[in-house]
Amino acid sequence: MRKYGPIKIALVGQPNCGKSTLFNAIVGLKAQTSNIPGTTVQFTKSRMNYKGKIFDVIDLPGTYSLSSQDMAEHETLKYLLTQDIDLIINVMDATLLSRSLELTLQLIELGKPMVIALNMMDEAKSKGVEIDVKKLEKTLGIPVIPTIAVHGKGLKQLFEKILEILKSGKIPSSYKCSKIVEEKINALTKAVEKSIAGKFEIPPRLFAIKLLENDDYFVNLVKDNKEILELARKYREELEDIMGSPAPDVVHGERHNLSMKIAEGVVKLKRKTRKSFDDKIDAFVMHPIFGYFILILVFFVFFYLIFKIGSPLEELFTGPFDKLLTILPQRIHNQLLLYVLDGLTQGIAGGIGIVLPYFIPLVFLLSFLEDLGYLPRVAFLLDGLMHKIGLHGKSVIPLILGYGCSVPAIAATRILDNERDRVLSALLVPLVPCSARITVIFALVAYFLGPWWALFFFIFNIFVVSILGKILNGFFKTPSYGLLMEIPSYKLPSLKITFDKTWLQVKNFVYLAWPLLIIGSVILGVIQYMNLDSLINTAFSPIVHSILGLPKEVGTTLIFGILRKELTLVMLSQALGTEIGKINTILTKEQIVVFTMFVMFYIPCISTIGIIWKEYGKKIMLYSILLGLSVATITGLIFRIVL
Amino acid sequence: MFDTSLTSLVYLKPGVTAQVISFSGGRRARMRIMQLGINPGDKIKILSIGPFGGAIYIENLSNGTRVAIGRGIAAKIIVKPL
Repeated sequence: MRKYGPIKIALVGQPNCGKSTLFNAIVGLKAQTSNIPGTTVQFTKSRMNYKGKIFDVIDLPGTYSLSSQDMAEHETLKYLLTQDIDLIINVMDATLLSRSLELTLQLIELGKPMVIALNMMDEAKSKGVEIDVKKLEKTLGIPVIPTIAVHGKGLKQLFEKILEILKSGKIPSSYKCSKIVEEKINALTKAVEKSIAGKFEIPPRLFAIKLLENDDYFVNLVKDNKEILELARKYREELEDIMGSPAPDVVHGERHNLSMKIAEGVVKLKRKTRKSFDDKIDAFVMHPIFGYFILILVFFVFFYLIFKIGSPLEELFTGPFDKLLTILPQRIHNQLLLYVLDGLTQGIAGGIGIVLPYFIPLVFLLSFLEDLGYLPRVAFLLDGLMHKIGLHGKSVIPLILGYGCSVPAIAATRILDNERDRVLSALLVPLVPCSARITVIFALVAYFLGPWWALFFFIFNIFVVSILGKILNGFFKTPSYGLLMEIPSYKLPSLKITFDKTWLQVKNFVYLAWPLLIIGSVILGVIQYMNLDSLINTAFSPIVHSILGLPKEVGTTLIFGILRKELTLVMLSQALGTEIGKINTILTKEQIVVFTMFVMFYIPCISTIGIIWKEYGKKIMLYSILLGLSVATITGLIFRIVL
Repeated sequence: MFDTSLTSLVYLKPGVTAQVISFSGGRRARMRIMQLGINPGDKIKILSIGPFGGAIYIENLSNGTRVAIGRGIAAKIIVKPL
């Protein structure tokens, strides 16, 4: 056991095995979990204390195998190979034991102490699968602790076992392949030991296995070592000659067969699987005709509920503030103070009255849909249509997450298998209205023009995004690789977890965005007092006034909108010198449409710009800004002319 | 001998069961399919087929995995209808 510093424990498992839920249960902290393969796109770390020992628990992105097929898996592989980890918790899905074992067998090769959390035992049981835990433990030589992460069951036993294993320092022993494959592995292991072992922390046997699999990551590590590469190639060819199929398939096949054998030995299928719950629901949800009715219904209900919950709350909360704003000028006679207080009130009112009423139901419903397992099904239903715009079904997931917030949506593009899909999706995501912009749509368009207009905005947005997808697709030479994704079983989202997730986002808003909103609003008040706003407005007037036909005062609001999209709305009323409820006395209905159209598409907010830069570099970031600005201007102009 | 009972996954209708024989795609796609839990020898069932040239939704009866596979990749999966 480590003498100094916290003990590092990595959680590793296949996507959807309940790993993040287990992580949450362990650390009592709320990481983002959801029922989408690969939502933990960046790893989360949390420090905890158990029996006086300090642990750093790291939740790594789900991976099917110790190889990197997408960015999320690449992160996991890199972390496991380069970080000094004390112990691995391998989270296994008890309902998919055989497939989970294929990863376990590879993790063993890392040569680290290991404990298995056999998760979702309750679901396995309801599917009629009974697992002999003791026997599994004995076969693998690794402690196995049954857990039900959603209910926090088995955690104490898990940590007791972790302490025990850390103390003994027991490392599980490698599995043996069939004779021919084993010979090649051993021969290559020896060569690896001789020539490169000192250069990497990676166990030679694992290195040899991965070179036989021709894995890009490992091959790339030794790309300068012609000797090893040549030897690996020779062994691969020999294997292929003897076994009759490509070496990577042979090596994978060994693990697959062994996993099947182990699973068969420990699983008792109590009753023959009757038509499962998933089948009954999928018969409609995944139906080539009904599926689309359900899809439209789901999203209609989704936005309808947000509007139904949000608009009475907006009315309720903004009322008192509006009153306050009319009283202020009568009581306060110092002009500067009046502007400051006015800005302050607008800022506070904007948070309570406009953002939260729509933001909370939106975030809640979106995480509910995520956890339910509906999004991968949407990916399936829309695969054919997405091909028409040069993407495939999987890209739907970041795009839908974009309705919540563009930042995690951009991060979620990592689940896509290749660069072109990722770049194309990342360029489209910021154009999907995020919760802040949806708030603007609801609070302006739905409130003053009616919910059907709001619906039109969403449909028009999808239309524009599709057209752009089609156009941008023309710039990429390589065609898409196609959809290949697991469809997880439905899970009734735990209300506690959904509430926790909603709270996490609301907390982020309250602590990060709201203060910005209030400060921004006050600053705008001061700018107006000093008459500086006319300068900004003049600078923006070519777009705002000449092209879009909006009052010049709107110019300043757009600047703040780049910081946070929520600011646009508060700033709008602030700049126009009226309460939000009375904007329609200053802007015509046509101007409200044009303004909202522009806000829906224009420059991504500063956090989104940041993550695009980080994930894709400066060039793509600039493209994204230009794309947003030009689409916003063009659509705004079109609506000004048409209306 | 040429086995005429072999066909590609894309030609199967919903409700049909089949045995996976082999994958003819590139290494990456092949490895991915196998990692997702679809291996040669497994018995699969077609659950649904997406319209507009969409994906194929299958269940692996051998281990319970469910996967959506785009047409392009599905075309390279050789199966034997049962």
